[in-house]
Amino acid sequence: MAARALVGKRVLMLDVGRQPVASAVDGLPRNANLYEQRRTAPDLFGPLIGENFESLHNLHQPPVSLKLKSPGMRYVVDGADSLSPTRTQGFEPTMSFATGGLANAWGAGVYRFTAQDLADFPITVADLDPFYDDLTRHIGISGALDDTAPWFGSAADLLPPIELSRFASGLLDGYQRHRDRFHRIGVSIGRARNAVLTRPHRGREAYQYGNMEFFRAHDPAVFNPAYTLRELVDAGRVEYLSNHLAVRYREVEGFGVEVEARDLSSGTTEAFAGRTLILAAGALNSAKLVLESNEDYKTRLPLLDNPMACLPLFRPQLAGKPLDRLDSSLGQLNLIQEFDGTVLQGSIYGAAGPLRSDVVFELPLAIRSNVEVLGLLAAASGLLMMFYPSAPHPENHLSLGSDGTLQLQCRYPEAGCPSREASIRALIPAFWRIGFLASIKLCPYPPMGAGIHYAGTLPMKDRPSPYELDPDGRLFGTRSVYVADGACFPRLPSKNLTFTIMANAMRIATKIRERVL
Amino acid sequence: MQVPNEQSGEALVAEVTHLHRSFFGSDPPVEVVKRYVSANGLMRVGPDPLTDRVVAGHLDPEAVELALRGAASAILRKKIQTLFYLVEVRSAYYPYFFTSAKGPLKVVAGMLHAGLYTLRQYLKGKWLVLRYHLV
Ligand SMILES: Cc1cc2nc3c(=O)[nH]c(=O)nc-3n(C[C@H](O)[C@H](O)[C@H](O)COP(=O)(O)OP(=O)(O)OC[C@H]3O[C@@H](n4cnc5c(N)ncnc54)[C@H](O)[C@@H]3O)c2cc1C
Repeated sequence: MAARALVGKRVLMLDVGRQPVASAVDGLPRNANLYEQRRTAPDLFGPLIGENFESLHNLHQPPVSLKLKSPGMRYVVDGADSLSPTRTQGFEPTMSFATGGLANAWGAGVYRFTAQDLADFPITVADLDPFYDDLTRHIGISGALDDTAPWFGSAADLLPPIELSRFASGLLDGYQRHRDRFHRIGVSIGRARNAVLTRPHRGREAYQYGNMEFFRAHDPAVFNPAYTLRELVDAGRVEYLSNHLAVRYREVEGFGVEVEARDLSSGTTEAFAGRTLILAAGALNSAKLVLESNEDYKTRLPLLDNPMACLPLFRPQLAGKPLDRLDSSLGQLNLIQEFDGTVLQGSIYGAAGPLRSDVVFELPLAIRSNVEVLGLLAAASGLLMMFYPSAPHPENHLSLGSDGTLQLQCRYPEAGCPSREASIRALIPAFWRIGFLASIKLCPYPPMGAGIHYAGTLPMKDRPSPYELDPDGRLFGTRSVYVADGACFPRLPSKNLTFTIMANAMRIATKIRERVL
Repeated sequence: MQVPNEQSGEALVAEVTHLHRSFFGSDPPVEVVKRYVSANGLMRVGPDPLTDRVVAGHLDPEAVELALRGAASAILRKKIQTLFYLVEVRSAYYPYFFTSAKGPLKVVAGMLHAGLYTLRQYLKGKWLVLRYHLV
């Protein structure tokens, strides 16, 4: 997004830039509905499992998100192990070297940060608002002006919200009937804000409720930064050089910066010179580049990710009902919980997106009973995915090994966040009240890293010191090195961060444009 | 590349045939057999004494897996899961995985059945483990 703001400047973007690989899923009609396909297509082995058994990945490899393992989605994380090897303790990272990065697989939940969210940032809502506004029009965001608006900011220019499944509309109805009760425990629920088109927008089609999110990327309705990049390249505003892994940079006296990158096709190293360098390789890899460029194998940088809790919800009334076409894997509702002086945020999803075999073997009964129960409850189930804030802690850090390995450690997952269990316990009775069953015993707390909201490694500060940025994103001790991704965030509020990464990247790039003649 | 202790093709065919018969009451389709053999090769799942004994003795894999759930039956479980992945993407198995619309009574009956069936399979599994000294 930084490149969008650099109007009139010569922009060269270096990227590894992995692309979707041709897979059998491409053979399915664009508007195919997953449930319909599964009922009628004799054999979906190619699209759903893959000729190389991609969907069996978690049976024999360290597990990845269910959204990242199918043959049509593997490219998002392919090669990450070798391009950026890690050694980890208490932190399970996911990295992408695809054009558009992890957002090829994202849930597309987009939320503005409020003044409270930005409390420890050296910037304010007023600094970000023009860019949030611009991006809302550029991306096409669906949502509504409802009870969550005080936490999600302006609803101007939103497209209509996505259609709700029976499960989600029942939950919203129940909430609206018992609004006072929910408000008494600090809870508000509203329509999800998603970077998903509900009507055609800037040449892209509206969402068709195909529910293919676990199997096919590049749905034109679901925003992907690669779409913006394509527009910029087509308009001649960005020169895009893929297959290049940036390794380090060096400032050149009186000129600017030189970046050393490895051409991954030839294995040769090339140097690229420019007036200004904007690092946006993701919070983990931007930090790695900075440490490598300083040949610093000792310093520990802060490491943030949103801790999570995943609470399954059941609506008995819907048990035994057939699957609902509208029960897509997109966030349907958002929930805000004010708990222990902190604002927590969650998204409510349908539960029918992944393969049954991903879920059946997680349940406690005999295998056939698990299949039977899941069949009966599929249309009656949903998942509340709660995100919690994260603050720096000396025991949660990133460093670079002398062998070039990223070292990620997290000893205190709940640094800066209230007790996840207590917050979930506070929610459960209100759900029961409206006919949605939930149990704390069925609520897992995924390991750190699973939030995939990485941030905080090179934080912006009013008065930065080494490995920190000034409020304009400039790296301490440099003249022309800027950082424009999640690394900038000094803290993580509970809201998914990508919309703010985009807005902040545009803000930083706008400052650079004004400064560089 | 050969895995040192790779299972022979025939052993895997016998294995998938037994698993499929136990869960679905018939022989597996040819494609499923082929894919099962390839998947095991790719995942480098070597032979597993527990699975071998279940297959050789025509024992109930579901009951044994449930009774030994955890590390002791991890490979057996993985093998069953592999088979389930391979069949669930075929429309012939759709009715097995996706229930057709059911009224509330049938739902309650289904849930009760699932609970009682689990209990039965658990007891059966425990008995099989003792009877055949499976661990
Ligand atoms: C399953 C899933 C669901 C998600 N859901 C949401 C959501 O609902 N809402 C939300 O806000 N966020 C969500 N996220 C997180 C979101 O995807 C990330 O926050 C976002 O993609 C970060 O963007 P980024 O460009 O900073 O980094 P990345 O996405 O990590 O992209 C990094 C880019 O830099 C390139 N790169 C890295 N290192 C180098 C190098 N050395 N040389 C050259 N190029 C390099 C890569 O090729 C890639 O293109 C989700 C993520 C996942 C995986």
